[in-house]
Amino acid sequence: MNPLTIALPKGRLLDPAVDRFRRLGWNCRLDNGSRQLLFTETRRVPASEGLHAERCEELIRFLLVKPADVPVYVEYGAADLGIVGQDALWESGRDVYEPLLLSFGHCRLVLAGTPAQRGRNFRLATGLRVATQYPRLTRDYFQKQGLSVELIPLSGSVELAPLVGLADLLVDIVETGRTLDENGLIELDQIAASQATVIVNRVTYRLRLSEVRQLLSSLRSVDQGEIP
Amino acid sequence: MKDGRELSVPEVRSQIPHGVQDRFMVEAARRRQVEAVLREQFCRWGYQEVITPTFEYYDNLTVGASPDLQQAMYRFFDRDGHTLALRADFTPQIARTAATKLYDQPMPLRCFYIGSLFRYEEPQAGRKREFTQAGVELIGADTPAADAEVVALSVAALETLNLPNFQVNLGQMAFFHAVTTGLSPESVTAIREAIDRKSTARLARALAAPDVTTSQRELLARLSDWVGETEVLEEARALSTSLPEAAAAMAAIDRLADVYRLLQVYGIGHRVILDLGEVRGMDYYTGITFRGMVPGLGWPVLSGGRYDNLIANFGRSLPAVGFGLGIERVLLVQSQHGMTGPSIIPHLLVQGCDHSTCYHLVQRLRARGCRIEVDILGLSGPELHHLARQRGISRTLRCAGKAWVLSDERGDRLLTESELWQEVEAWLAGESLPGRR
Repeated sequence: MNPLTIALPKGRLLDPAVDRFRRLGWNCRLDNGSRQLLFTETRRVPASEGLHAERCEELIRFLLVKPADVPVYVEYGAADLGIVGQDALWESGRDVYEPLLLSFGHCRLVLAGTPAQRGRNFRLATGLRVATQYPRLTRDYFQKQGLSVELIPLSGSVELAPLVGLADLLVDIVETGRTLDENGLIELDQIAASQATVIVNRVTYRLRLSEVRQLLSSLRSVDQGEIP
Repeated sequence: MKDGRELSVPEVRSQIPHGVQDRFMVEAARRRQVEAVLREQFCRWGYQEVITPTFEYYDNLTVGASPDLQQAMYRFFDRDGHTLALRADFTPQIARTAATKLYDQPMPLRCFYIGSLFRYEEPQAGRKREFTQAGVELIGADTPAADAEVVALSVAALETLNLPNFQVNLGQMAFFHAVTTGLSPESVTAIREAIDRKSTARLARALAAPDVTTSQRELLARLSDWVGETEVLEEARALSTSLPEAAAAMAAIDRLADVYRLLQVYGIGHRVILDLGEVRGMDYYTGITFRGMVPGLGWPVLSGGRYDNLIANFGRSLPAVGFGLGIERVLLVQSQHGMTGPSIIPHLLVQGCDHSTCYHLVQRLRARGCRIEVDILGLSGPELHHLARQRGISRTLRCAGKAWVLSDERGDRLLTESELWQEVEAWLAGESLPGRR
């Protein structure tokens, strides 16, 4: 049987994710500086999981990909599982299982703008422009309120947009809110709260159920700080 | 306008819309072969083909369709202003046919279909905006034997297609419906979505709704765990006793147990996994549901289920069960596993000749099953060999009075007619004919 393949996101979620796998006994050579993108790693199966005595060494494969691409790899089954922020998962709209939330990567998706926007009635505004890296979630958010806005999709430094008149508002994730603060912006509404989640391909989940369940349950215990 | 010279035409002439494709040569042959294999298998089980129109009234095609599917339909108007649509699902068409044309035939009806469906969706995993589906509908019987026959036929279909290590997950929508009876539609939707995403966090939130009873909460929290063999049915029964609709829930489990037992009788129990956490499927499913999955493909290759209320929308109440199988997905898996298509390259390239004996021979060889290309350009010997090489044809034949010159990897040989026939029999024996497995 092929080893399970796990897609891991480059960036801020990588270290805590890799940490979980290291604590499960996996040798993990990957980090954010890795040039290599595909890693096959091994571990000795701990006695607590030693259901099959003959299987004393296990293999696993890690893929290192951009966060937004993790759901794509998993939906297609190129990776069996993935770890990704819910923000990136929801934005991708991909059809995967999300059986386990992890205790890191907490952030919030917020609507923000200059202090002048506080208390403004957006229903009466016309030609509202919103800069974001999350066009899908932003459109949904405004659509639910019956508002039609002009989306300005950007790939980074979204905070700049309202400062130079590119957009009236921005939708982005914040962890501490410091970047908003430093740019003289304020939070106007919270759209969603997000954290890291394990996602699983819908076919793998069924075809390799016992392996997937075993991995999910050990990830769950190690994530909750229990010694595996 | 000769010789395939490149001429100046608008660039758009070479373009085709996103989501459709041309298939040719071995790819066309592979698709036709899969269709032929399935058609033959369905016929062997006593199913008869129904050929339905590619487009019909939009209102008929949307019966039982989810909002997403309705959204994905290609719609247009006829000259009288009626809204028409390209079919996006075969089942409503078969339902209409059964209720309006075939209702007085002896029941049950066993129908199959093979054809294109059209959905305005992003192409994924072999499925374009125009894609091919083959499937069956067993109409007019609401028995475990009917359910089991259709599941068994789906297994037989996947087996004939030589798909390796496939698995069929068998669920029961009637159980989910029974368990969630009495809940608000919003609660049911939230619970169904959470279970469908296997999201424990979302499920916990959905189950916290005030209208969910303790017994419902306990059971629904466990639903996704119940994947396996008959022991999962026992656990489901144990937690069903205190439900508001305990009898309906028990009946749904009993039905599933009956179907599973029959599948053991068919000898295909090892292919089938019970999966009570399967709550996805067409909105019209009312009973068992099932999905066929193959390693290496992220999406199911087939899905089906029982739909007892759909046909009534067309004026006759008839229970039914069926499945549809994605031909392009099958082709994708087959090529992943290095399965090649049928042989389509001619056995022989024959030099053009105006002797009637030569033409008679060619005609008799064709009647025997040989694929033969006859040169019509008056090519010389070397040109003939060059063309054969380009086409991948491994032999050429030239008429030499009363004998024939066969050129192949062994060189040129002068053969009598009976020697030539011996060669031909050897070629044919060395090749499994399409559709024979």
